Formats: sequence, structure tokens, C-alpha cells
Amino acid sequence: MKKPSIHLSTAALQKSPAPNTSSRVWVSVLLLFGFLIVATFTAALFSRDVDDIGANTAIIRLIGPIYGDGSSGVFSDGVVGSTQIIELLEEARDDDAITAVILEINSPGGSAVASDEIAQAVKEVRAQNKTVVAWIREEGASGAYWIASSTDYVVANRMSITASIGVIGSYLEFDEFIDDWNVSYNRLVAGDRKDVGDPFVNLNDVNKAFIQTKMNKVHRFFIEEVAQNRKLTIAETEKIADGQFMLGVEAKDAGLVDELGGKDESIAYIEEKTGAIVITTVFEHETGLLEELFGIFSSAPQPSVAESVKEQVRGRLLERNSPVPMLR
Amino acid sequence: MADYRYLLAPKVTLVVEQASFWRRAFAFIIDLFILDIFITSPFSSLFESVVARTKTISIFEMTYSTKEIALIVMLFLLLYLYFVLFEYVLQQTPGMMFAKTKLDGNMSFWTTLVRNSFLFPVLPFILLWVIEPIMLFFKKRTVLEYASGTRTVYQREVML
Repeated sequence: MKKPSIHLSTAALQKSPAPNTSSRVWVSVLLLFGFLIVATFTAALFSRDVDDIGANTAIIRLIGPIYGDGSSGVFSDGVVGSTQIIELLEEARDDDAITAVILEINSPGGSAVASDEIAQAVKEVRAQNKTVVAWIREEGASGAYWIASSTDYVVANRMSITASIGVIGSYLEFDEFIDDWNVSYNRLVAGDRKDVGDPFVNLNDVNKAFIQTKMNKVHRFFIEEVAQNRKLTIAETEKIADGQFMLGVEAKDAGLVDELGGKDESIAYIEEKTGAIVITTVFEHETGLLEELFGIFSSAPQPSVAESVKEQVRGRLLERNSPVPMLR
Repeated sequence: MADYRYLLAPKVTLVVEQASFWRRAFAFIIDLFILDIFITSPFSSLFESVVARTKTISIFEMTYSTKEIALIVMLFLLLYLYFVLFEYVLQQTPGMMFAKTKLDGNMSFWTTLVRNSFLFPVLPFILLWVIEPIMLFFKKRTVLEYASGTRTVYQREVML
């Protein structure tokens, strides 16, 4: 016969007078509401990053001309800084939850070096078995196309401006201008070609040819890169690498774009390739708390719109005033 | 003249016995309902996207971001605190109140911590999710109750 496990008193029950039922209910209610407040507060803290929770696809935006390092931020001045974009790509590469990246491109191109740096970072992401898709919106030309070609799949709008596989380097020359104004320009140069590209020195045919050889080399790199990325022959790529820009629909016929479309088509490709439902999150340069606070409380006068435009024009002229090869 | 009427009044004795498996299961289910309302519901929207991913991939094969791991840890910590605090302060959880069970033994904060360590979603504690119900069914006492020197009892008043 089973022995019943019954006893009539215990140490715990006798140790202290137990709170009566009413007190227990009140204590329980207080504790429960305490938990509710803590849980709600904790969830609210996490909800600031709710876009990141569960996301498996990072969207990285390349909006504006592409540059290397510089004082301009990634998006603040409408330019793409390769350093910041590479950081975001590395973040996506190292994040185990991220299985794919969509590069949202709306850029006319820019620095050859910066474009190449970003393209190499894209390849490093792909080397981790992560899918990278380029989504070209209005513009994805020249250096921006170089980057797009380094991805697994290129999606572009049928009216996008793309391709433009060529190199440009231009600058204003002021040698006759300063002569007309009776201004003398003193220069001391050691080395025959040290002042090649100086805006106050006439560019003779010899030096022009010298710069042209550099341009051709960069162009050759560009062609080889696109040919390799798009699995085209060098001869096929050379035919379309005369610097002409193409509409998305033309680029697809030329083998430079895989599909005409937009974000939905990019997501559909990733879902088909990875077999997972895509949940996106935007990876962007985060401003620190101090940076934000200083931005809010800064007493420095903000430049007017006119001054901002003037600064941008000045910057553009300075950029133009350099024979550095640009992919734009 | 002495009043002997008290001898005729019914005598009430508190009978304490080990709680059965089904009574404890009932208490645990009630606690789960309460937890769902007061603790997990604020997190539900945060887990929607994680749940969406489980439609295409097993939850065990999924990879989690640092933020997701932090969220899961926070949630389990709150669930753990629910059981620990209620048992420490009242010697019973709300579910146990409904099931008329409570804890017995030398209760301290540390014993409540030990008693509820089965909630940790990591090895070796995760093995207790299988072991404890079996122990409870056959022995009416879990491994962690033996370890902490506590037991869960069902108490009722009996008129003699």
C-alpha cells in the first residue's frame, strides 16, 4: 500500500506568520505591474533598433558622387565616402544575421580609387557566401557601375543611366588668363613633369600625351574589371567601353544588367537564391550621441543656402582643376 | 460557570502534502498565461520578424544578431526574475495561488535562484526541461528541489 506523504506542519510555515490572502494579492499585483513596467521599458529600448531585429538583408545606400576620404560625411553632403561605405560593408560581412546586401545606387561615379576600394569590399562580402545585389535607380554610371558590376546581380530601372565605361580628367587652364591680367606666376620645379596639370602652366602635347597614357591605363583596369565581373570577353567589353552612357534597357541587352526593375526585383532575387524571406534593414553611418548633442547645441552660425551653393561650386571647380582620373 | 461551548466548535487542521504533478502543471500553465500578459506581450512586436524567418528555416539553424541575442537574454532574465521574486517574497507564484500550492523548506534568495535555474536556455540546464517533468511525475519532486532542499506542497484545511 502506498504511503501517503502528508505532514501537518513544516518549518517554513511556522517560521513567520504568513501574509494573509489579501496582502498576498496586493503584493502580487504590485509585483506584476512592476514586471509589466520593466518589460515595457526594456522592449521600448530595443524597439529603437526594431528595424535591425530579425533583419537578414542590409540595404547600403550609395547616393551622390563617390570620393575617398574627406571632410564630407557619407550622406550629409550628398556624396559617397568610400571609407564609410567600406565600414558598412564590413559590418554586413561580419554580422552573422545578415545573409544578403542590397546596394542602392544613385550615383554618377567619381574617384577611380574610391570605386575600386568599394568594389573590393563588395567582393569580400561575397566571399563570405553572402549575396550582394546592385539596385541602380536613376544613375549608376561609370565608377558607380564599376561597383555595381562587382555584385552578384544587377537590377536597374529601364530608364536608368548606367554603363559609361570611360575615364575623364579635366581642369581649367589659366596661363593665358594671368598673362592678360599682367600677373606673373613664379614656379620652381625640379623634374620635368612635376608641374604637369598645373592650371597656370600650358599643357603641351607631350604632357597631354603623358596624362593620356595614365587615363588609358585606368580605362584598361576598368574594362578588365567589368569583363571579369560580368563574365564578358575583353573584346566584348571594349565595344561598349567607349564612355557612352546607356539606358537600363540598353545595358541589359549589352549584358551589363541582369534584370530590369527595382527593389522588389532585388528582393525577389535574394529570396530565390537564399530560400529565405527577406527582411531588410538600412545600414547607415550612425551619429554618436555627443555628435548629435553638439550638432543641436552648437552656437556656430549655419551657412546660408547661397553660401552652401557657393562652397559646392568652389569644391567642384577645384575637383575639376585636377588631372586626377575620374570615373564619371 | 465555565463555558464549554468551544469544545463543540469544529476544529480546523491544516493538512500539508506534496503537490501532485497535475496540480503543479496547472499552476505552471496559469503562470504562463500571466507571463504572456505581463512580460512577453511588450516584446511580441520585436519578435515578429524573427518568427517570420522561422517559416523558411529551422529555429535551431537560424543565426541571430547580437541585438537579437541580447533581446532573448533580457526576456529570459525577466521570466527568471518572475519566478525568483514571487517565490522569495510570497513563497508562491500567482499560478501556485490558484492551485493552492506553496513552497516548503528552508527558503532563502539563493534557494529560489537554484530552484528556478531550469529556465536558463543553455546547457546543461536545458536538459532539465526533459528531466524535471519526469521526476515530478514519478517522485513529485524535481532535481532542483532536491538540490535546493525545498519542496512544493499543497495545503488544505480539514475540519476534524
